Amino acid sequence: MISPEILINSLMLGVMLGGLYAVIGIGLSISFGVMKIVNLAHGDFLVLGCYFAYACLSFFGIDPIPSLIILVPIFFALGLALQKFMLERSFKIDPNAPILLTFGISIILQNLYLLIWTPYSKALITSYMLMTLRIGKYNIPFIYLLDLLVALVALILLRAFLKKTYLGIAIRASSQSWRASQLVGINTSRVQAFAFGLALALSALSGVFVGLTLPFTPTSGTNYLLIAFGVLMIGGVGSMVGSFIGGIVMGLTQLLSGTFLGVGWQLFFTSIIILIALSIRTEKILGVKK
Amino acid sequence: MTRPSFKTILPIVVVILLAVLPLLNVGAYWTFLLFLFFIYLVLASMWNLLAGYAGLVSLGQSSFIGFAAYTVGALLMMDISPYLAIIPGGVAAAALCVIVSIPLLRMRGIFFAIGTLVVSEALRIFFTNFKPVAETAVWGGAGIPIKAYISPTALYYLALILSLISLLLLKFILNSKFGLGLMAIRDNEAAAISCGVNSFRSKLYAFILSSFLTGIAASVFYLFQGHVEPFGAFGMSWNMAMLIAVIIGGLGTLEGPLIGAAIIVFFQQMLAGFAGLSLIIEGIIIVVIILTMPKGIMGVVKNLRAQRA
Repeated sequence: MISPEILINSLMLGVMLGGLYAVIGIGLSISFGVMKIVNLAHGDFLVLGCYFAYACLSFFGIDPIPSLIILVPIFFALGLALQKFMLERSFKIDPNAPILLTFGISIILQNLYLLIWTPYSKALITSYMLMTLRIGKYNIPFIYLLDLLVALVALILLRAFLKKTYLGIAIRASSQSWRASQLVGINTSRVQAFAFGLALALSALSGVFVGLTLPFTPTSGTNYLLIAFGVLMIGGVGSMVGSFIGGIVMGLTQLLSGTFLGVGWQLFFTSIIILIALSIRTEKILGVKK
Repeated sequence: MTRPSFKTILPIVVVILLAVLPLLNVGAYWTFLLFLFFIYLVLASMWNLLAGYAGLVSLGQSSFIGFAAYTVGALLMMDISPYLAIIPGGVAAAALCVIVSIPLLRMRGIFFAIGTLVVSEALRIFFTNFKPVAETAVWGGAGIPIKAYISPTALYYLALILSLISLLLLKFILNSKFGLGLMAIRDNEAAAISCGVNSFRSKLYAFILSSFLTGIAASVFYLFQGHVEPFGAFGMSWNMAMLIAVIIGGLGTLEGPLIGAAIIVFFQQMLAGFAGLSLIIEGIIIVVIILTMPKGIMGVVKNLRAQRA
């Protein structure tokens, strides 16, 4: 059966992958906090990050990690534009309009990838892809370790940004109360645009590392949307610690169900966890303030 | 008095024309297109009941479609007459709906949308991995055959009757106390509850009715299709078809799905050769319509009428 080594190994990998999932979730969490809508194309923008890095790698031979210097600003600008020209208009129409709108964007993106990059799964193949660190009996893939490290740095930086800078405080204020923050002179429209840009910049970052860790297909976006949503539901809005816990829960669920029941069942159990989190709203259990 | 009588005569004439159409030898292609139109009409109307009238945007209607189709397939494996398998398909979808509505109906807005999406994803993965009989080529990712020897004409009539029943039922419901309660919940839930509308129960009934008829439509469609596999049955393209039909036609209008379903059938045939491209164009249409005319074609028509009056 399953030896303790395998179990410990998948526990470690689950935690490390969970760090990455926390970054995937935190982008959604920031934009959800400020705008009270979930961008249904969140996962597809993440996959766009994977494919951009793939294009940089295969056409220009640029390593995925340095290519972030180009990707992050592009995604930030894309986020600003999307918020300004589409989402902001859809808020005024109907509470359900943003859901339908972002669903439409998600369908466009998925089928665009299908057309450009074919349905076959792709991976970012790098020299350090298969490197492992050997600690005692355990082999730890270098990429997974990098994921956790990047996630921790990103979460700590974001926390500092949200606590210390004017924009960060404005983002938190408008998540708490839109009207009150307008009253104290915050330009909520600009804060929303910035938050959405930040969310997309984070999805570029997490997209590159997802691409380095796991293979991706044009429709992977839906899975990452669901994972991000699970993290948001477990961790609550705008909480770094909550998101980190949420990410680890998702990562462990995926790895452990994969180890015990086979790879095919991984996403099934992830979905079950998301449904449970959705119906009990763990954000209230963890005591995270909205 | 000429106008209202025209309004009642026109649908009857159209229905009689549609009923005699297969007898006129118009060719299999046209009856197939109309069959598709009826199926999409039922699916779109039921999605419209949820999204347009109850304010519940469901992105997981495909879970009822796939579940009903698998039920029909499993029943046919037991040598049950295909006509007798249609109603159980709908019942299975309604039963699934009752189970999932325990968590789902406590959510609203985006949470409900994502919850339904999660359910359909979970079911798709479940049926991809589900192999009750090992060492066979069926079940799992390959899906199961639906061996039904029903003539296309019989299926055409089934779909026609089904779409008539759903439209009449919707018209009846929307004028009833239940329908008014639903719309009140959509517009202001707190106010509706304080007026004595049982919010949870109204939503539950709407959700069950919509899943039941969606399941029946799916059973009829898959009897025609002859085969069900998880990626198609639980796939996004079903949700996309209902969504786009309702949004083009007009969200929250009774006539909207009629126009939308006709457009979507026409559109899919036109772009049948470019499978990938057609979904991109459908996505673009959704985005453009939501941003420019959120009430669809019927909304534009109503505005024009209001201007003229």
